[in-house]
Amino acid sequence: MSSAAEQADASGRGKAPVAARTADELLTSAGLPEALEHLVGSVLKRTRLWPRERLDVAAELISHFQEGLEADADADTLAESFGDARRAARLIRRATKRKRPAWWRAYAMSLRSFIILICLLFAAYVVQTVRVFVGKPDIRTDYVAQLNEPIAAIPQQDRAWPIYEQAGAMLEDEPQYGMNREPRPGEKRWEILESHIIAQAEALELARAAARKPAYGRELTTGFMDEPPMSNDPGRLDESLIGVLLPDLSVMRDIARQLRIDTWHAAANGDADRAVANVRAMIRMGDHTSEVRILISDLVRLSIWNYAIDLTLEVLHRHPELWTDRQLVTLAHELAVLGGEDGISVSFDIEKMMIHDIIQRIYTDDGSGDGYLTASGVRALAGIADFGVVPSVLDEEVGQMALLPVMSAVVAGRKEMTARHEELWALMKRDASTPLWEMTFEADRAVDEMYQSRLNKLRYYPLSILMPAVGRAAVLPELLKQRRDGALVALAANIHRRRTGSWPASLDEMVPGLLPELPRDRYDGSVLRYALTPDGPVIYGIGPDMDDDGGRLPRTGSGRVLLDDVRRGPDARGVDGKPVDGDWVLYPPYLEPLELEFTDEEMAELQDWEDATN
Amino acid sequence: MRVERELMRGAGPVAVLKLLTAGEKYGYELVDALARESDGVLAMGQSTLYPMLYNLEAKGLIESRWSRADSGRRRKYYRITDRGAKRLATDSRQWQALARAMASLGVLEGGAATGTNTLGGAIA
Repeated sequence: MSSAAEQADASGRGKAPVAARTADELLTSAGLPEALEHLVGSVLKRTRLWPRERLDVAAELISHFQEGLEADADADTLAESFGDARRAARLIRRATKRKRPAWWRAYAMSLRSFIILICLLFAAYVVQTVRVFVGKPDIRTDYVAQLNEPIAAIPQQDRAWPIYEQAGAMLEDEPQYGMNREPRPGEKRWEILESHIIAQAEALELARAAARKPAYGRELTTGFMDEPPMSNDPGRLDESLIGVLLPDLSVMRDIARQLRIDTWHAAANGDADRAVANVRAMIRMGDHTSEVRILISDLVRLSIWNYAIDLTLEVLHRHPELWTDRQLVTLAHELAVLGGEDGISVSFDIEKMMIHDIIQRIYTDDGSGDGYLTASGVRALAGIADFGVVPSVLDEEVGQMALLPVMSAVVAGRKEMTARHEELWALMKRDASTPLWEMTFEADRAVDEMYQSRLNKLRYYPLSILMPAVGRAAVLPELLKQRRDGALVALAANIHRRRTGSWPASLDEMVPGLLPELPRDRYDGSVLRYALTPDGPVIYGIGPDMDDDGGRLPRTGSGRVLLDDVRRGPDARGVDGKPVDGDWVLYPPYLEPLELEFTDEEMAELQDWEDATN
Repeated sequence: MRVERELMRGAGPVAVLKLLTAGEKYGYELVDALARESDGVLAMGQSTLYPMLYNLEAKGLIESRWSRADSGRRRKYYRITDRGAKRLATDSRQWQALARAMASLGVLEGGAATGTNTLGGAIA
């Protein structure tokens, strides 16, 4: 073996022991005939191997042809017997790469996989883009028209809304007391409210007349967005149920607030009929407001009824002899049957329709309940709420083009979305039909879980933006039932006192003569607490801290709690963030101290009122 | 007679491994031996042979070394490895089974090849 060969063996088996630094240099210096040099050069060039590998291949091919020439073969014959240069280069490249180090092969495989993945993703993206932009929703049900049909059949003379609307237009804004509650008759600055409410007599008379009408009679109108971005788009949501406009709700609340003031005024002036008429009007207004039981309408109904119950308790307490026995009984009967057959409740039925309506407007329909989110659907969703979970670039056309296919892929398909909604809806309905003390709040938890995951928030959009507001609503009727039951006990106790000359010693004394049954404390399901004190009866529930404090008010005030804190037990916090250690006292009603400390701006506004009334 | 590429793809590596059992050989020598000892049946162009050698080397069935001939020319010699020898033994048995099967079907007349050259010994 020559020294060169020995060197080769020593330096690395199989590596060419050549002085040339590159394959081209080696080829040039080999002195092969032109045809063979060209052939080798062509093969080497096409192999696109690493320089060192090329050098090795070059050395071997040159050696091969030199052997052939030495064996008297001519260059053309050798070139011909070599075979196809292109194929040789391809095979040599493939075979040589197999000899490369493991790390390189792993890297190459990863790179290849990555590139394939990118290509697949891109292909999927392109397919998805086409799908998303070509797909169109198929709107089959006009839910708004469906809901309006029975309303349209109500005779004009039976409709209350036109009269409420007229009353609302006549009502002047009531004086604002900033963060303070309104003063009651005899309290400081009551005179401002008094002179205001006297001026509203005509409007309030109209409102009471409206409340006597058998039906609300307000047809739903839509128009969610001022300038819908997709005016010719079948997926627009401004014509859907979620786009229904409810300006009447603020009118109804305005009227109820002013009826409340008017009741204080009437009671202070011994006008029992007007006071009772106002409370009864408010009860009817609640019914009217939720003629179509959209959740927000139901909530306003509860709020108006809450005013009515508060008024009843307050008038009873401050003017115990104002109402006649008959009026007390009438009020008790009306409060006992609040909500008719459904009772004090919220209905999620329209919200269910609302989601179905949205789904039919944003998804395609494959005829078997499934479909995918369309481009117009995503854009439509962008218009219905704070799009916190969706990138704001969707506002831009380019951003829409780029992200819509991705969003359509991420957001659940029609079938999955519908199924998820049905599942949440069933949980909400179950909670809504369960007393507070048995409520599991599963709907709340399910919605919270969905909302806490950014991916799920996007995946179940729009459920994730609509459901949180809906889920907790099941608690509100329960709280109002407790207040109503407190009012019923207070009415019964007052009737008992009038009839017998003394307060009943216990609830049992009022059942069944004055109360059909013992009312339950919504917090623990036990009987509502009743304690007779020298000042009269105290009617209370244990409240969110879940223990009986003997009818003591929470140290921090009324103990009003946030809905999230309704069942937190000892950890329950009030709206002021402080612990609620005490009971929920329903009667006698608690009135926050009237501080009447105003900001400069509030003071200036009140001054204007005073000037105007003087 | 030229052998179809698909057949050659299976036969070529076995033939090369068999040739190398007689001792190490360089590329040109292998081309020449394949053509000569198989009566041209297994003759293959260098465009096929060298990639095949690189593949066998990548699989560890053969190994190479550079050496300088008496003429002073550098040559890359290939020799069979232990692994290659095992593979050759396995492949040989398969080829023999195949040949017997083809013979029993009458595809091979007069039984398997009985040549006495290097390749015949491998394939028979």
